[in-house]
Amino acid sequence: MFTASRRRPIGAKLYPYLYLLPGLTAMVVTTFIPAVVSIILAFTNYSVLHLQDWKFIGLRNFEKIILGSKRSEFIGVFTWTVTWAVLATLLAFLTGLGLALLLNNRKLRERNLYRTILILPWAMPSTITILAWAGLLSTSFGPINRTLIQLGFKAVPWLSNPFWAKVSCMIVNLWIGFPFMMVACLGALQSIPDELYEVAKMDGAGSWQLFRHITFPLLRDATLPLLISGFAFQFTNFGVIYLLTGGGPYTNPASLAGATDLLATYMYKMAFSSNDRDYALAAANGMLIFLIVGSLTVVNSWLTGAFREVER
Amino acid sequence: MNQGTPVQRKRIRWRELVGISLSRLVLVVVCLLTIFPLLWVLTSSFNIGTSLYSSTLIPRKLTMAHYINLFRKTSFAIWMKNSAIACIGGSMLALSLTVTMAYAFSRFHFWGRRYGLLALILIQMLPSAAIIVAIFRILQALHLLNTFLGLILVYGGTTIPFNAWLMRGYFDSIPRELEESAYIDGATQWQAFVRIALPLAMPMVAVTFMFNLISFYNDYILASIVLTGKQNYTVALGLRSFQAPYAANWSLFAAASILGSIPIALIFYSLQRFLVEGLTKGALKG
Repeated sequence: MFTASRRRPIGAKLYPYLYLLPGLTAMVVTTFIPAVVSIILAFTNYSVLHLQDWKFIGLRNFEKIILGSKRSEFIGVFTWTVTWAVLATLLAFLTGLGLALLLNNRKLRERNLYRTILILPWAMPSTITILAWAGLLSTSFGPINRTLIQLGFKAVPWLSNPFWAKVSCMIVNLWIGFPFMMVACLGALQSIPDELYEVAKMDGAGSWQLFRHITFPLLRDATLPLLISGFAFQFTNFGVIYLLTGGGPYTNPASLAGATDLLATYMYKMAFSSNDRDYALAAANGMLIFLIVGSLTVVNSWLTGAFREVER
Repeated sequence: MNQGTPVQRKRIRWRELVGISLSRLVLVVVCLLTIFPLLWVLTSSFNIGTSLYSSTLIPRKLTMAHYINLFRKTSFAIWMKNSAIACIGGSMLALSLTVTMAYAFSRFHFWGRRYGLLALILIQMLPSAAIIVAIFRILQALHLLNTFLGLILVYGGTTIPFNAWLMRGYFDSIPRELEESAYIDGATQWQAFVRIALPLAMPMVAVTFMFNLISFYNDYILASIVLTGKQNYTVALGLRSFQAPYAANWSLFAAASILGSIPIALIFYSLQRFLVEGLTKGALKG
């Protein structure tokens, strides 16, 4: 590649690895070793009850999750995680797309003002805004319920009823997530050349036809990777659920999983706040999460052309 | 396209007007819905009364008492300091570990380059939830639990793939000719990197730094398992501790949210163009 690099001394082959060394070392310590430890843990019975005398128990943790005593809990959490990931991604995407289509209009002189206001949720630290939402949605004292009552509606059990708690999580997550989708869609829309529309208009296409045959297909190709990475992100979402509902409300007092628990919060609780602190079972859960998200990432990288970029 | 009779033109203009007014209406309503929660928190922080129940959207009487109490009665200042240490330390560590790596991936050909880049993409998506148990256990063994050094190491190490990928793209956009002419003048590879490529990449280094800063500030899960002592709480952990008797501490919480959000919002809006580009470019097909 370099003309100069051809004259490199012997041993220069090792040179690039020196540049990689600091980063690689840190990755070994903070990612590879933890990953290996997680995999090993997943096959043991390491928990607060067996801190010293832990031993390998083979596939029993996975058996427990997929077939055994944790089965119904896991299936409940898994189903809700998939539902959540699909709905949350689609809601944020469609809202973002709709707003982007409205904002992508040069005749709307003040559109930068709207844009500035609409990305506010993205600009704020989400841990703080989620906690604030938890207060706003409070059933007995919350401003939202008081406003509803003033308007003549009944108070909604936002965080205490299993169904409404799910709705609340969706609303808060949408509020946090739509600005990113909006900005991304706006970028995709603005990258469509104006000439395409000009030519189509000259051929007598109406505005619906313009959308159907130009905007939609081009947007679809550009935003599919966005949807997949969004899904992968929502699949492992932690903050919204943990800080808003803590996974609750709980319908079954014997169960560790609440109505809104996602895989990530469920395994966090398994390891750090349950009575038996089952680190090994949580690690097995983590491996399952990684397998699912990992395969999604491969698909996404293939779609975005990241692999092709690497080939160069 | 000004063809057609004047009547047709007028009809088109009228339809456009209706369309634009409808767009405006929708956008104004969505804007109001978007800022409603923030506005409520903002006014609560200035309103007299401390509980959630006494909060109103329009304050009855303005007061700075909650902001003063925040510093007198809570450890908010310490939480801010802790967050600053963890975020700045983590961002600096992440950057110093990755600039050379990103440069190597951009400029050098070496065995394993392709698979290294693929591995970075995969690891980038690894959810921290999947390995927190192991991280907890390892930090415990190293006696780094409840230390900022532990958290900074975790932050710096886990963001390497994302940082490297982002900066490699920027190095790719810097023309190689500049370094090549330096080689002709007798510069070594290291000199070409430090004196030519690195200064040119400084804007991206700054953006990546802010990028990390924001995501570390937003982190709850890692901070919560590493920092267990109350005196080491970050802003995120500290604000959560208000939650238990939420209704009672609402005004204090509101004041803390506002003060805790301002630095991040300022960074976000001032670097908006770069941040937005950096984040969406990775997600969109170019």
